Amino acid sequence: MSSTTNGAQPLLRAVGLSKHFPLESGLLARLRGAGARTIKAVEAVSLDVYAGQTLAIVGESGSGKSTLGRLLLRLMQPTTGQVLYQGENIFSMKRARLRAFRRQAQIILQDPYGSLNPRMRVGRIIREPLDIYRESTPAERDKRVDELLERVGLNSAQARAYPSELSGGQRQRVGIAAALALSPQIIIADEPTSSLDVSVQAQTLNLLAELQQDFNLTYIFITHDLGVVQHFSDRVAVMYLGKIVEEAPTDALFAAPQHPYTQVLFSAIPLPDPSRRVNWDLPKGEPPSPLDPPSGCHFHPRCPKVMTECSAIVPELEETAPGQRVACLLYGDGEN
Amino acid sequence: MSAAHSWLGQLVARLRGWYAASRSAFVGGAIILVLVIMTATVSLYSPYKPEAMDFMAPLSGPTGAHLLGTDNFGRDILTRVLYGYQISLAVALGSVGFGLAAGTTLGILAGYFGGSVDNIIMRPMDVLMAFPAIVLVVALTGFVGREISVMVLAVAVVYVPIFARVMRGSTLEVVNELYVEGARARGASHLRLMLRHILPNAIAPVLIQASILMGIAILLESALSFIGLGTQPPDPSLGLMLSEGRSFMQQAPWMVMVPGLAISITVLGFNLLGNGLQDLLNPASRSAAANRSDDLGQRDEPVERASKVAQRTKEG
Amino acid sequence: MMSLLSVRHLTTEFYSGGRWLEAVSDVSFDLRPGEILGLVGESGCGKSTIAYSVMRLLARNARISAGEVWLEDVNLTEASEDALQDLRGRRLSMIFQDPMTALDSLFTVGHQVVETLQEHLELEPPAARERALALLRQVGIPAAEERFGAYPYQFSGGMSQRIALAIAISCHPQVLIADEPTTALDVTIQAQILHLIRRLLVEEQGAGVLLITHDLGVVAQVCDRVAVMYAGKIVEFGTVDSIFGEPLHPYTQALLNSLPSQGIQRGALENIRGRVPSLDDRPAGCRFHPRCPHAAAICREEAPPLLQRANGQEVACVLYD
Repeated sequence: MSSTTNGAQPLLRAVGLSKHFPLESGLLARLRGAGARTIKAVEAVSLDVYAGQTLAIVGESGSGKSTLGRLLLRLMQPTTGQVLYQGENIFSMKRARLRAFRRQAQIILQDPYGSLNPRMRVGRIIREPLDIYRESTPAERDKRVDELLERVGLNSAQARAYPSELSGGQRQRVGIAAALALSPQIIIADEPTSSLDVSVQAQTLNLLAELQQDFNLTYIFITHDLGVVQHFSDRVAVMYLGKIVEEAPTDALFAAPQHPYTQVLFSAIPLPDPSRRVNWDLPKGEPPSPLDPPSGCHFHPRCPKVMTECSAIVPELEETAPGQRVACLLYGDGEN
Repeated sequence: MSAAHSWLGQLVARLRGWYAASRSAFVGGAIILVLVIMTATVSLYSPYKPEAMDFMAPLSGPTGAHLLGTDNFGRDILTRVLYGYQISLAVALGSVGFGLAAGTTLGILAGYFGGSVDNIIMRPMDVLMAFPAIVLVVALTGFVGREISVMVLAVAVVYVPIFARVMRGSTLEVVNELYVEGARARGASHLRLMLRHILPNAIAPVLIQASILMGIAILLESALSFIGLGTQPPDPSLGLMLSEGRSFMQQAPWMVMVPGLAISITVLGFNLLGNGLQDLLNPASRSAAANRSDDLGQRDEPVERASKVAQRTKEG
Repeated sequence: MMSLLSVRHLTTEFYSGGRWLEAVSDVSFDLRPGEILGLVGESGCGKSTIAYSVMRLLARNARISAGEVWLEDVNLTEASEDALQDLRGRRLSMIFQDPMTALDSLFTVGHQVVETLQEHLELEPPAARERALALLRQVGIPAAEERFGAYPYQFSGGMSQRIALAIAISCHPQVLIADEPTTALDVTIQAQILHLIRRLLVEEQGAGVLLITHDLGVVAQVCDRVAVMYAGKIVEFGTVDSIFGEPLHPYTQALLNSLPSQGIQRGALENIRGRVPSLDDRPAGCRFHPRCPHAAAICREEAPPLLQRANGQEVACVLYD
């Protein structure tokens, strides 16, 4: 855990974070004695987030990236592990401290169609966090709503609109304004642009970049879009079946991905450049079910560089270069 | 003049809009509205008191004086039906209102908190639900007494689990919506989440249910009065009138036909309204309606529409 | 050059708010055997409407108001429903973004492949079963024999799309229309499915594929030629290399520059000002002019036709007159 960046203290830090979802807890299953079947959505994840930076968490469906994001905000309880915010474990925070933490850490959700209450006007949606924290007077809250609308590129007349009257890009702006309302430090963005058109995505990303500059925001981007990752993030954590398999500064990772899964993933991205062809043959098989993950390294059945011991030994994340960690036996410095 | 005209025009346009949105809800709503107005104002226009007996004309058929005839005591049937409605509607409104309030509260709590809260709330509901409604009502009225308030309470007790179950199901759907999660991340309290975010988005199926249960409540009240456990003579009640009319079926069939028809029309009205609300409030069928007519240009998603088309062709 | 599918001046309208609105306006293109032609554009540009017009699967509130679509010698726009029924699945197939659109959840996947085969190819049951199994193996269903009797819900999204593909190619169609076939899938699965389409249909059977997508990366990787659409019209048409190498239309240029990538500084992606006009509010003249950085007076008045340039690329823009 010595990976420091610029010698700074991490703002948010996950330590040995795991989340297991129980399955079949019904009476019949218990009678059958099938007791403790669980999905290990997130398994022993440790991660540092530095102030003012963007950390991208990438992975395919079932990788546990969204669950990890929710754990980082205490939107669910972990099975084990801690999340330290400025050194304090958010899971042992009492009511008042937790409220203070929630002010500082906000979320922008994926689908702008589902993330806004369809029966609330836009103004009310943006105002709600201010109401919850009883910020200043109601009149000032309304003024703040106007400011926020303008800040994200909407006009104050749109406060009266219902979400269904707005386009996807406009809705995403409303979501961003609501997340900004309390001037947070950290924003977790879960697939913030994946359901938007390219040109709208560009506008949204530009807005997020501007806001980061202006308010020194720390972003955690949860995404599967590697173009967005490459463009927007400072550091990347790659997840596969609940575990981080590689973590590195963005430039280093894209220049030389080390984990075979990262390599396969990168080779499968269709780049908008016909001269740089995808390697179609590299991705093999489908991600296994998180219910029944393979032994050893979870990736070994699909790995092009699989070795005999991969099915037996669970590789640990190890530093291979400054700031770069890989969980793969290929890079282990000998036995451990 | 022209102002009045445009006001009228607007009203007509609005009525047309409602009619187009759901014919069923429109007709059902109109039936109920007319009944309610007629019932509420009956004392203003009816020349008869419901208990007033016309000894000159017992068992009279429809005449100018008695539009729908009289019963064996010479009481005006139309008047009695309309006064009877007052009791029926009061019982229906009271029981549905109480059942709705209690059931919705229990249902939202069960669905929102889940786990043991869910069990503690819903297991007794299941037991209550497993009880035949009419038996429960008979037992309650038999035990406690034959008063309107008891009848209201009895029907409400039957309704609470129904509302609770519908609300719980609907809450379970909404509670996982992204906007609920988003509000939670923003620090919204349980109460705020339930009242502001879940209730408004989950209530539609409950309202549909309420409309249908109104109709059933009227039937129940009539049934109870019919078997002598509900409204007591000489108060007018549709069920009681049916029961009294039975003995005169040969001489005066209108004594049973009029209240019988009245019950049918009311139940029909509420069922139509319920069905119509289902179309109006159910997002799936609403988007199908939107698909049919308006806002194609507003939202730029012919793609989505197209995939619905594919769906349809597959099914068809 | 010979063409399999020929779309001529296709105009498709939707009925909305009491009038007919054009979703697709005067679109023409040819699909050749052995090629993947990409139709690319943002939501609402009409690309999917073209697909449904070709398949004659439009909603009841939509109609083809002008133009023709020829599948070799058959005029699809005038074909009877019976004739279309026979063509669909045999000579003309389609796969969708949601593979469940093509699968019936009540029947086993094996049954569904067999059914399609028997409907069009008059095969004896044992032969059809053999053929179906071979198809499932071809599209990469592991343990096809065991999973023959499984139901669609027992498969992942990627596997379901493979099965939908197996059904779509079962009768060796000449033309496959793929509407965002990999949008809902993970990238590694996407790569596998796209590769299958190219290998099984295009390379082995010489079929033509019309690939509808919003993903410029997918287009660059799998298509031979591309039509870029904006607000119901094709604004640029050419080979993948020419469109990505030297985009001519300002919209194509802006679209490519708005893609996030490493080379561009954070926050400096190209913003196309404004938003895509809705169907009932399409500007006169060139439909892109209110958002175009190069717009001139003439752009407001005249709609530029799609004209061929020296290198074979077609573009609808007065800048190149």
